Amino acid sequence: MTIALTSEAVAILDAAVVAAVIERAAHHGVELEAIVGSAETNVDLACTIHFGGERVHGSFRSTATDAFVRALWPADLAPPTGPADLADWFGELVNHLFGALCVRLASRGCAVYQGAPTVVRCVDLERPVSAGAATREHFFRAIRGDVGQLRVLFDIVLRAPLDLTETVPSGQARASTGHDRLF
Amino acid sequence: MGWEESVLSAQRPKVLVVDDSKVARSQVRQALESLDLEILEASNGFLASGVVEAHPDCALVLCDVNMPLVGGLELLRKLKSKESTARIPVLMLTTEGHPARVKEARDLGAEGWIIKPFKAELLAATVRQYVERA
Repeated sequence: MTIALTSEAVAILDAAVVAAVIERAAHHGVELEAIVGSAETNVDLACTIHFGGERVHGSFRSTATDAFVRALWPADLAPPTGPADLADWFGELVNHLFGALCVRLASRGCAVYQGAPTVVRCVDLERPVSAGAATREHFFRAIRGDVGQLRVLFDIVLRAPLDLTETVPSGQARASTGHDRLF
Repeated sequence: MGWEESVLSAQRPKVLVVDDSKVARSQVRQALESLDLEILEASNGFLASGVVEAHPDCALVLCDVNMPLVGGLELLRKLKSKESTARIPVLMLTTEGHPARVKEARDLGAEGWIIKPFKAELLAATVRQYVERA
């Protein structure tokens, strides 16, 4: 049985995805803005991360151009030497983006387990990867520099009705990003 | 490697970085550059086990959680269950943060859980604590 997302949950999830992506891209030195976009044909890389939790499961998928991934390449490292480096970094980058979303989900009582990212040279991402998934689609572009767009598809399947009332400020829901939680 | 280099290398504390992303491993290596360490690398828990077997004198393992073949928590379980490797401190370094996984790591004997993207200076300060203790 498929449980539908309420319009309120959709609005919360959409805002969480946008905030997470913009926040993490800023950490990597690139200012992004959400745009009304459409699927590009000149996309180079696609990354998928599956997730599961008590009440939800699904996938976080993203596509980008090599130029976009290069723009977010870590400033403290030597430049990428080829397509393999860009693919590697795109997987790690999408992992960071999804990690930021997970912080927000956890703060609303929806903790999920993350899978490992898989990256491929471009494939069609139109079809939801989970049966019965509601797919939310978002597009982003860099405010400075024409590097193409980042597309995010967030597939979510509800196993139980989802109450996304914020219970814990997102900073306290999990170990804070970049900080140590030593036991 | 000449004998002088071998001797110098043997004196430097060894830190094993386990992550399936080569770029992520490079970022850790870069963050720890100011510490005089010998950095070892592995791209998953299976390969990391072999590295630890070959270098039982590791001062610290920095380990991602979600990796192909053998994940970080499985590696942690394996290291802590063997007498020869149980003493090696393990810090998890990951984007993952599910409270159940954090608890599992703590129960298995991990020293801590650091969320990526990490701050280089914080990571270096934390690693320094462990290698000075070793």
